Amino acid sequence: MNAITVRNLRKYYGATKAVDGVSFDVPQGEVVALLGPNGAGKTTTVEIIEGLREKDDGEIFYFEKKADHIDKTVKSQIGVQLQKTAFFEYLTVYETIELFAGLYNVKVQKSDIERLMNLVALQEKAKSRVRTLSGGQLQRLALAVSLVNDPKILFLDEPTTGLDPQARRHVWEIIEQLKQEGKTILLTTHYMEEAEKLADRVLIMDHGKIIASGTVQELIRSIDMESYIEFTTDKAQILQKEIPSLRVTDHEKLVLPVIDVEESIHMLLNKAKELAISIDNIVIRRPNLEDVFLNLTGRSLRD
Amino acid sequence: MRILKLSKALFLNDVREFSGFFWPFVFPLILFFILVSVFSGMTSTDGGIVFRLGIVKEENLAGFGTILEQVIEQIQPEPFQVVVFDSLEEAQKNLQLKKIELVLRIPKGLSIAMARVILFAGQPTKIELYTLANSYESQLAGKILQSILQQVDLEMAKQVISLTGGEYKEVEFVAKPIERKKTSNEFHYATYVFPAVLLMSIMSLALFNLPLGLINNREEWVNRRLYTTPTNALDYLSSMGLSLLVSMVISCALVYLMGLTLYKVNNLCLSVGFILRLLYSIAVCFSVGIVIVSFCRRFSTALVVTQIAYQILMFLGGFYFPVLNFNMPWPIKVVARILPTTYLVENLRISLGLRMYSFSEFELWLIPGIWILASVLAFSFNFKRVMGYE
Ligand SMILES: Nc1ncnc2c1ncn2[C@@H]1O[C@H](COP(=O)(O)OP(=O)(O)OP(=O)(O)O)[C@@H](O)[C@H]1O
Ligand SMILES: [Mg+2]
Repeated sequence: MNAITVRNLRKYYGATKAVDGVSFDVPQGEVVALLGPNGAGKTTTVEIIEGLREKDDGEIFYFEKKADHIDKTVKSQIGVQLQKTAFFEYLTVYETIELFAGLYNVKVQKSDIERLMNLVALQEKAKSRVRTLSGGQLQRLALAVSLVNDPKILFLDEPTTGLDPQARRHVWEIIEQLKQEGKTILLTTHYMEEAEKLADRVLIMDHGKIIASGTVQELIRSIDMESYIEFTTDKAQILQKEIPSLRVTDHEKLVLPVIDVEESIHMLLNKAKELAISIDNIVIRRPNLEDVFLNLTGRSLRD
Repeated sequence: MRILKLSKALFLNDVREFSGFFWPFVFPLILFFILVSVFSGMTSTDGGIVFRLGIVKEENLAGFGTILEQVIEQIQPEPFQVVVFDSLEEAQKNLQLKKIELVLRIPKGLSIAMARVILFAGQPTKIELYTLANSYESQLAGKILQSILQQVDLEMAKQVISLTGGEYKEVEFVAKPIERKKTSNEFHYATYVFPAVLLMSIMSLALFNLPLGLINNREEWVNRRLYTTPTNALDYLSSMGLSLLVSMVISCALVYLMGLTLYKVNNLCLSVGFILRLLYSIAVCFSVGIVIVSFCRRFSTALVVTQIAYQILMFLGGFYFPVLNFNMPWPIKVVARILPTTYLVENLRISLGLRMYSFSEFELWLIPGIWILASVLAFSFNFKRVMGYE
């Protein structure tokens, strides 16, 4: 059964087509990642599904029941972490979790709140005011709060943005644990590693449209490339003219998608010699979601 | 339940912040103290213990009556300053207006009556003393004069005994406290400013905390976070209102406590009429708050507008001096006549027995009521935007 079904969702802000005819399914118990660059329309999409924004057009189904209006019944079954986390600054971590439990009218014991704080490793911060928390702690509090009503479906909007690698890995562990517990999770991110690590299924979004979807394996296989050769050079432009399939990434790295690695390396080194260009830091790697996006749009995810 | 829990959170979140605690709960008390200290001195009596004694002489004292005359001479200029009145009524009126502390009535036929007492041990004579009920100075003056006259009595008794060897019946002093007139122009500054301090603390919550809280929570996305739960905009608004109402009640209770214990504000402030008017004022102030939030989109704009509105509503509303009674340029008078606070503070004062203006009862209730209606209308048109949901 699908926990969420979306058909032809549309939302325009004046001339901006924030969401432009989006359709997808989120099967129950799976983690689905909505991957896309800034401004792709990820937040708009999930917030319409959560009932925070009005759709211009389209249909939303929760557990295959049409939800024209996201009412209290739906809201009491979902857990939400917004992209921008804000709580009452002068309440403590404990009080914040307690408050939100109250808003769902669920009876919580002290032990329930403690369990949630333990889950996100905030037990030592129980009595700290929200305003004193670091960015990462705040994100984890937001995650804990999104779980107070023991939701069937969890929406996480960029849960790890702005976290250091260690904190990010910690959040990933929590999400994996929640998946083990059988929660359905719709996650937005612009980190391909996050999608690769957590998602059963990835929806790639750009300019308000879903441009590709499938499992990570399916998406990678779809671009028909065996490997990628990455390197740096001082004369990127000259080389690009010679090899049209060469692309520049955000770190001024050049990437060459190849099917036959050995042959391509020869070709590249010969060309460089011919043109008297020096090539450095050569890396050969397997394709990833970033390459899928690049292949589809000609741009990098982090543009 | 949801609303109660959210109100509690909003309340705690507010009062834990220094400014959220200081402005509603501390500042009104400081202001009350400053105002009373500075302004009430201007109407109090000039230093030294001098009581103003009004004497109603219904006859010119002669014979034995001159004994009393001599006594009266001796108690001047201290501790009594004597003002002579022709009629008892006039003297009493002055007493009620606190122009004098005490009235001594020398009835017609006193001299003869005294002579009769002294010479023939007749019926005891009556001299009436009028004091002002509830006035400490008046009671004190009464006691002092009474004891002086008792001394005189003793003197006379001695004289009577030595003169006639007969028996003497004391002159009886009848002290009659009279009630202060409710509609008098007598001016008790603390009572005058009490409604203004209450309104000010209500306004600081309704004009600052309400609009700025709503805008801040919207800009910071706090309310969207609430809306992801089964809490809707109306729940949130009600909770906000409830938490501010609690703050207002606490704030007013503190001002009451100070006013009643320290400054002896008129007890009428505990009357149902006064409290009803106070509740009406709360409703009106809330409506001014929602007007501001309906028209100001950004926090910084709202802050400026609120500051200006607050000052205008206070000063032109006549919180600290009766604006309309002064010679002001007409545009200011027009503004003052439109502001709801002009009527609210006047209405509260009237129920404390102070009337500054001559508004009709109708105006006093109607004009603030129009504000409520207009605000609710303006707010409902902007409801979605203000509450930050689509
Ligand atoms: N309330 C709004 N008013 C006007 N335009 C909006 C509004 N919300 C979003 N947009 C526009 O819609 C587009 C999609 O925005 P959205 O926030 O959904 O992107 P996103 O994929 O979540 O991006 P990010 O990764 O930066 O969070 C953007 O161009 C944005 O400017
Ligand atoms: Mg977003």
